[in-house]
Amino acid sequence: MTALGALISASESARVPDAGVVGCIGADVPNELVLAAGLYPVALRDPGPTSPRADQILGPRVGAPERAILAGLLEGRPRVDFALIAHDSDSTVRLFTALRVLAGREPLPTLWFVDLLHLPTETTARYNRARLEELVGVLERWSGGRVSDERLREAICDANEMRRLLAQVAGLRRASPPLLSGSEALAAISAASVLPVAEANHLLGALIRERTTSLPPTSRRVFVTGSVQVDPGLYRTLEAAGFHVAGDDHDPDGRLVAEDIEPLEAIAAYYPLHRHGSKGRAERTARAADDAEADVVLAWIRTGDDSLAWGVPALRRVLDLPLVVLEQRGADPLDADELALLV
Amino acid sequence: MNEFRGTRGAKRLESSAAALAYQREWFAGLHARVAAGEPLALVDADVPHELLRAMDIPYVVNQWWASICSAKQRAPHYLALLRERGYPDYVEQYSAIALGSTLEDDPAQAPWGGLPELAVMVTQVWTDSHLGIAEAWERERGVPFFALEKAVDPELTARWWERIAHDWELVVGTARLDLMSAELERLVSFLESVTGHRLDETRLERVLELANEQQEWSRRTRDLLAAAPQAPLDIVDSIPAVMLPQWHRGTEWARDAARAFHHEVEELVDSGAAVCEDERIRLMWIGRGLWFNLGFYQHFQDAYGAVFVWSMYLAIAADGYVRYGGPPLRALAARFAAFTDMLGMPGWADPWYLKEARAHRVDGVVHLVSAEARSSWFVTRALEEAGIPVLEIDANNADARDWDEAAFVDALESFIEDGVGK
Repeated sequence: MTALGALISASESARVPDAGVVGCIGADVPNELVLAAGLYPVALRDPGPTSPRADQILGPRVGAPERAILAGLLEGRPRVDFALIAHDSDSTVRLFTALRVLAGREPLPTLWFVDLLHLPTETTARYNRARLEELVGVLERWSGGRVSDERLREAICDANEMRRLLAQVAGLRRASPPLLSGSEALAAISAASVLPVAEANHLLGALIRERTTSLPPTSRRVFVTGSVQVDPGLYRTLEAAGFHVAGDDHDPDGRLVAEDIEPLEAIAAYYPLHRHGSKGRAERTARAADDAEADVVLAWIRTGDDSLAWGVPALRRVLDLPLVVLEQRGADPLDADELALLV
Repeated sequence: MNEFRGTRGAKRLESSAAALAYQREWFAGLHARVAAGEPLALVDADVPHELLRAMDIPYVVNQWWASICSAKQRAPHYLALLRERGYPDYVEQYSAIALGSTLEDDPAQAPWGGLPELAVMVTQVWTDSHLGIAEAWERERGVPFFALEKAVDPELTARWWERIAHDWELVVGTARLDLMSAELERLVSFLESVTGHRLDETRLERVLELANEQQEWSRRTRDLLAAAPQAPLDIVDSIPAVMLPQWHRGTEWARDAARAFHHEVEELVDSGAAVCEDERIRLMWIGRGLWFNLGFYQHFQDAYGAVFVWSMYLAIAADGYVRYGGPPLRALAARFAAFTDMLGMPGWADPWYLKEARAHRVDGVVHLVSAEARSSWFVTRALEEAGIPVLEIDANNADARDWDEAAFVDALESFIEDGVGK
């Protein structure tokens, strides 16, 4: 079995404990705190299909991934004892506020909202720091244990190691010629997110060591921005049409949680992952697309992430590359006309 | 594109006519003030206008201006202008139309002479789009903006409307109030630096008093209308009579306008007046006003005796604004830190709408379930479980492009005939 196969297989057969499992929804849930509390974090990232009931409850303007998470939780899958939902977007806010009311009638996990906000201001930073302290208290209640600085430091070191490895995985994809396809990189990231950190790090290391052979040449290199890809459908479609997805702007950005300061302060300095502001995001995307030696940038915006479309003019201003914008996307694959836009 | 043009509703009350006349005169005066060098702000409906009032900074409410553009049937064109510049025309149209109006390519078509030049914009990021819209103002029109966070309290407080006026620290939550109070201090500094105006704290206290008095009048009016055997007016009258003064909150004129509206309603109730002599069905409209087609609300009175007796505008004025006690900035933060929760968050909105539906003895509810509505499923469920029929209409309140008049009239007639009227 290849290292990637082993990683995916391990994620599919991952055994979770009988208690203390925390479903983490959103990129801004600090896993380090969950681990330091002695709980078992599982990213609810690729939750499977949505359901008519979940679609009705949340409505079509909530992202399909969040609707699918609701569908899963209402049906008891995956089994989690607790759920942390972060204020990543309107969709995660709407998911939390719906679950909070549904919890009065449905057998749902115990919930908490990680209200980390995104404006780049001192007032927001103070609010976020207080929310993290509050979250420590919640996790200690859930686990019955204490979040010590020592355990938190260990968790930060492990998570940083995973960030370094994922950055190397992104480098394999970004290489020219590439050593890893976009869909393979996405599969590796998804698999790592549901495994215990040590196991994920071990398997990611094996993947990095194994990949030394260039992939067959492709016609064009694409950089994908916009919505986070939670399944490999888009990338596989692009690859089948001869493109290489050389990068996306939810790749690891190279930042690490500081290991040489008070650990909760370090967590507060790291999260949330992104600050609001389309200009800053556009500049980051343009730099990353250049680094990936992309020929074209695809802004793929899922229904439910529609606000991202307000940032498109800012991106167009700073980008030296052709930009293709596809908005209000659902599960439908790209058609031939849309693929032709990328050429 | 759908070329639907809606109809205006017929207004009957002196107080709504007076408010409209005042608004036109005030807006014309704004043009003169801006031409003379005064800084003008554009503010979203859910930010603390009172602060600008106390700093003597004139402001236009973003969503009110969108309602005017929509009523004048200009919104589709303004959205198309935004689209031409690469912005989405399918999300948060209500908050984006004003920007589109400043891109107007035919000034003669601009409602009310168009929006005067702006010095600043203030928004709250209660959706992800609102920051994008503010950034677009800066990019397209060079208007600097200030954004307030929208924090979410993990805990719910039951029956907020009974407690929020006095116990706002508890209901809204200390964390959110700490955040917004600190943000308001920053907002004051920002406005001072952009406009040169200073905050007069004594004036702020007076503005808050006047705002409370205004909403107290609205509460009395709401209670009168809820108890009246027959509706003396429909929402085509009550919306302007409430909302135009709402946008002048904190002035004596606004307080007096709310009082005059109350007295006019009181006289109508005392005289046994009915907007529809043959009132048979009392309807509630949940959602934002259908600005491009206010005539829709009166369409069903003659044929069915169906009267829209309730909209959120008077009711939220009655229950959502009053804040007593506390330091002025914190009390002001308490008015807005949870404002959108009351109208649109599950657990906040649904029990409140149900309470209002019962108080107004409605026979049925027409529920506008636009893409932006955040608690639709919960509101409909709460009402239906209480035995109140609900018709959901999926449409945007300010964007007529997808409005299907025949289908919606047909749906409402069927709802009346087969649902509430059975």
